[in-house]
Amino acid sequence: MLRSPQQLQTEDKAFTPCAQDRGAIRRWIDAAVAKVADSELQTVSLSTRFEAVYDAIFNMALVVLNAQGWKDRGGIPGHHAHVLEGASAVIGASEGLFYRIDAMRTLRNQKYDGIARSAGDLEDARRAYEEFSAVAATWLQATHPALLR
Amino acid sequence: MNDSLAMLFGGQTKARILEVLASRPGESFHLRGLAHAAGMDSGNTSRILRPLVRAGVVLETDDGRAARYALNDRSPVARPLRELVAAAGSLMVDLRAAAVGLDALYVGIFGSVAQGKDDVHSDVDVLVVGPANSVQAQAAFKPVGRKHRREINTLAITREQLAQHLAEGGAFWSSVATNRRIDIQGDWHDVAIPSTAAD
Repeated sequence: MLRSPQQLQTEDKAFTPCAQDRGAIRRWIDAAVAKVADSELQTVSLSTRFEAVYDAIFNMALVVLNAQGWKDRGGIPGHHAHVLEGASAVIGASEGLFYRIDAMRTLRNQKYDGIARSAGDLEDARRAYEEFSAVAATWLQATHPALLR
Repeated sequence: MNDSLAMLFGGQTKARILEVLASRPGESFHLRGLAHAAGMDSGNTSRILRPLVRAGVVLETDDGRAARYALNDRSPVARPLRELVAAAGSLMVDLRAAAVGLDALYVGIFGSVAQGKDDVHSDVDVLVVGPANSVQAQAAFKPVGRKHRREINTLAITREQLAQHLAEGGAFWSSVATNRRIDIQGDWHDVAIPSTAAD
């Protein structure tokens, strides 16, 4: 069972309440779109393209949390994991999808271990982004359509 | 290793062997395969097996080349033993279950857990050899890490990459090859062939 932002706040002090910010939401969505475009660049490494997809997912997770009135407390241990889990719980993503994007987080954290990402990794990352962003967009349209205008 | 099983069975060695046999119904093992699956050496595994075979808990058969060992399903303790191992919620049992769905030739534990030097906070290092990519491998073990509150670091490589690493003989891969591992799927010796020998 994925933990909601409220649970993560109670258990790990992972978030603080915040006001919805339409401008910030627009910027995060724009950043996600730009990162996806970066991930398609053939002139950079597979590892860089993989990280771009991860960044796109993370930006979309921040959109979800802000729309729900939460801000992550950056700097505490595991804050990326909290953002991904809290946002996944909010939009009703499956645990399987959450594990795939959390796997991307773990792999991204290994980027200084000298292990290059493969074409298969990139393909799976893109698929996870497409699924996560589709569920997030459906949730945003249904619950906070005004924030997308 | 699950500490409660080690306490019940009077030691990690016996607990690991019984855990492997009880958590893999329908499978039988050669001595070496069982030892690798339990992260033990063949000598200790043989020493532990002898009284278990005599007591009828473990069934010893001969496949024409060597002895094979399996939990004796006719033993009255077989079923309770399987239930006990499952109920203990062992990390190894859960790792094996997670590995089943992976497209991999070999899955094994290396590092501090395999060497019995871990504590409850130690990361679990998992090597996955085969077609599965890193995202698939890492994601497969996420539920296990979450359940046991352990960080599980997977390293997913192809058989060809492993062969190349072993042929190069760097410190890390030499350590993986020579130190104790726990085979949770497949046999290390079937995949650990340096590229010069494989060509």
